[in-house]
Amino acid sequence: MATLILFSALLAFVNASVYSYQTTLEVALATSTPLKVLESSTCFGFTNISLSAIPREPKCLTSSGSVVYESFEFSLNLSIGTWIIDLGYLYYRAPVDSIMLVVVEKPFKLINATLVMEGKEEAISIDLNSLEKIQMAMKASEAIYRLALIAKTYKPGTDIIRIGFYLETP
Amino acid sequence: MYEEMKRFVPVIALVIAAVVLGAVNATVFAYRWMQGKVTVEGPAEARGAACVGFYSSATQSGISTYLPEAGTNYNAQTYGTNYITVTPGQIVCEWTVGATTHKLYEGITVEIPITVGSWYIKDFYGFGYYGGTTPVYVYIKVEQSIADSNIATAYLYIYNASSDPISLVTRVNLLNSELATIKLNPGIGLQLDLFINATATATTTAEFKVGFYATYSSTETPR
Repeated sequence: MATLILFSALLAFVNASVYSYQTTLEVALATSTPLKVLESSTCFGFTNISLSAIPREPKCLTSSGSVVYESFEFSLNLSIGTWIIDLGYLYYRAPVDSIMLVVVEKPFKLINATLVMEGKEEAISIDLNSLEKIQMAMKASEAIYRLALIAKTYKPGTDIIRIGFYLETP
Repeated sequence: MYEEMKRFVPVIALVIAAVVLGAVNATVFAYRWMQGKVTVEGPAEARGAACVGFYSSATQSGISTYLPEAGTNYNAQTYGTNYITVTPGQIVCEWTVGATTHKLYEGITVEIPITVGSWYIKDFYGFGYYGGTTPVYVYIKVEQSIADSNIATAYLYIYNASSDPISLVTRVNLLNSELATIKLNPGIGLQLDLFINATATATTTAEFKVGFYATYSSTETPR
């Protein structure tokens, strides 16, 4: 006798449309200390933010010319179920390696969610339901991570998430 | 005098270097953040790609007004006193007409007891798209293929229950990690069939997992 167990899961995913901005940026070159030099030669932030998000202050440009933002805020309307939402990309360009600290500063309470940061060689899942702190090595000279939110919703309501990305020199 | 100055110069330089080094080490020099607000609506509000899911017209009377007959063999007898059992997951979409609420489920867990040989399980459950105005694309992905040497062949057949006659849409090999796409217009329902060839010499349990990803994009595949 053989028993076959079939699990079928339905996942809905919202597609991210990619913005293309035409903005000229002036990068101010700080001089005084090596730290300032490092700061000015580093481009770190969010790029190609999806349609459902509002980007804030532009900081720099990627090597291909897309605007990199300091932060972004998104607003999502979901229904009950499992969702995969593309948020955008985290971009890093610097002459040296750095350590990035990802901190879930305000975790989700109502929905179950993870943030998937998918790089060229690795993917990291961050639990968004607790005050997580994860260290990641950011490799020179350029690194890009796709940011995807996987959310499981069980009941109606509103929830807020805030995630901080701290860049430290090694 | 000259000698003294010479002696001090490197010391001062060293101090500066140490301070700079210290600053570099201790400072978080860039802070970025993202913040999001998520509003979750109940299944009654779900429409479009959110109103896609599993159903059986045999367990929900009246649903066949909105979606075609499907899932008629959800509790069929296979051999002896063994029956297929289907356990639906949470409700992702529902709509109420009069006193009746029709529901689509996020997932189903199916247990099919079979014996050695070839089995064709016809229409064990349905999958449909209610409401909405634009088509959705459903990507069917084998997330966990059958890795049981007792199973020689396993296919998930997907039929369009809305066509007349009912026609084969696609076939997914459950022994591989396959991906198939189906375009669903509102009101379209699918029938799910299973073909299995088992060569077991003892009792075995073969498990597999198939993901159904619904999206408006015809080009973007799930990972």
